[in-house]
Amino acid sequence: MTATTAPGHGSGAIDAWRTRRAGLAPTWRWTLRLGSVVVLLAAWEIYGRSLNPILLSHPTAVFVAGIQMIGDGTLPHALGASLAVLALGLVAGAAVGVALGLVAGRRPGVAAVIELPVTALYATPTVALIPLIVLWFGFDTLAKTVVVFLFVVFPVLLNTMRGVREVDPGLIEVARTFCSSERRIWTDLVVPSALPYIVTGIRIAIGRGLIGVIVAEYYTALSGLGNLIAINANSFQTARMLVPIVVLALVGVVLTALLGWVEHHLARWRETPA
Amino acid sequence: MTTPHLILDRVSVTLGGTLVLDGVSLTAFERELVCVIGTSGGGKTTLLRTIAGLIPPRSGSVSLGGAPVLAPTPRTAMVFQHFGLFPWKTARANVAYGLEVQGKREAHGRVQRLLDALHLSDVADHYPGQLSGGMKQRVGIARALAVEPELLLLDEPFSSVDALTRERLQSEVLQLWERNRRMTAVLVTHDIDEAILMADRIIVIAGPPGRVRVELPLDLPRPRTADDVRAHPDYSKIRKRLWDALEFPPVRRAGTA
Repeated sequence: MTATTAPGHGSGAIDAWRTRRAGLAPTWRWTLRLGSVVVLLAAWEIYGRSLNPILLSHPTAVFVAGIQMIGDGTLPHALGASLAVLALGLVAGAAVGVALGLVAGRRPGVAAVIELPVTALYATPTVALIPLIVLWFGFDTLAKTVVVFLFVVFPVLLNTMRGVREVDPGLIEVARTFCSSERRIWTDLVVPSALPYIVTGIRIAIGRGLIGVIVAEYYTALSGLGNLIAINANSFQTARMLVPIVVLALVGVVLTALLGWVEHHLARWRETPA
Repeated sequence: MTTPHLILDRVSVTLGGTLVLDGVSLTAFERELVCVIGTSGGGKTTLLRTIAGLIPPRSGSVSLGGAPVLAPTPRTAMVFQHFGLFPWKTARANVAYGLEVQGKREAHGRVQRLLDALHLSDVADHYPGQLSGGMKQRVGIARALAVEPELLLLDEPFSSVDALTRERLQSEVLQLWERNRRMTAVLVTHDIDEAILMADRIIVIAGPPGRVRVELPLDLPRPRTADDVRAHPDYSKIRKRLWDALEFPPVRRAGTA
């Protein structure tokens, strides 16, 4: 200890200053990230054990319940059902949102046509529409997908439109002087410059999509992780009820990380300084 | 150098209801380098954009090689003051851009030749965000030359780089130009010395609205260097002539701005 403090004092201060300026060193960042999780889990464990297990379980009990639920197949089955709905809704919502957003961003006529319906639908709580969705699409996968779709499509659509409008008009002029076709303007210019906005839209959509899945599973035919939460809550098996909730959180973390990885590879040019 | 190539006949342009160019006539002969100088807001850039077919003139006409210019044409290429590079394309892909959109894939050998000629080979796979201003403009120049246009338009190409880089780029572009001389060029600048260094002919535009004040053919010997040009006996006479032409803006009384 003394060896590090005495001679290293000056350089340590400079290092700390550099770290603050340049952002955290990767090892430190991961230490803090994982540390926060460990501290939270530990606190939950200690506090949870002091309570009635019906009110709040604790991480080890949730872990044991999780292993059991994997073993008897209930968790994989429910997760599969929920992920299928999430994937269908997310993909459909993102595809429609991006496509419509790109067109509406570049064509003021299209933007004018969709503006009021989109604003109205976005402002309406999607939950309020579920009875109608059930009437139209039934209780099963299609209806649930529609619910997730409605949760997902608007943030993607609005962010994409915004991104297209942020296209540098100077670059549009460059494209025009080089006699670029409209199609090439899209691929060379509109899509790449809207990409960060699209990614932001999808990042928001992932969170909303997870909400959508559970809402759909509660309010149409009970199924998937939503069903697991509901039946275990009804039978006061709090540890088993918390398993699907933890899984949902993990799905959100994994999907967001995956999106970050995709963005990193699509937008290498943004990591500029050589 | 005696066949008229680019002809502007009494071109007037209005932008948002304001007259920006007022009856500008101008002829550039084949393989001639014409410099247009003028103060900011005098309509120089508008003139160039009109020649590029980006702005339709309200009256008058622009013709290139006998054909009227009504829209951008692949026979013209432009170098932009703010470089106009695609940040998500590498230097190499930016240079190849014009060839790509014009479907001239067979001419890809030119890309490497131009990267070499403009000292860009080492940074060919860098993105514009990793390049200095001077390097960015080299990419912009290479991109325009790659399509081998009949008419090269340069919009204050050296004004966004630092003074030392500017001198170096000027002399490099001058050398490239003097060695090849394959195209007609119109260079817009507010730098008198740059115009004297590069031009076969200088046109002074003052405005608003932009009108041609002076047209001055230069027969300084080529190849030129900045030092030769400054040491030339006619240099200060030419310079004074251009200065006088530029200092002829419409008198503005205090309080009317």
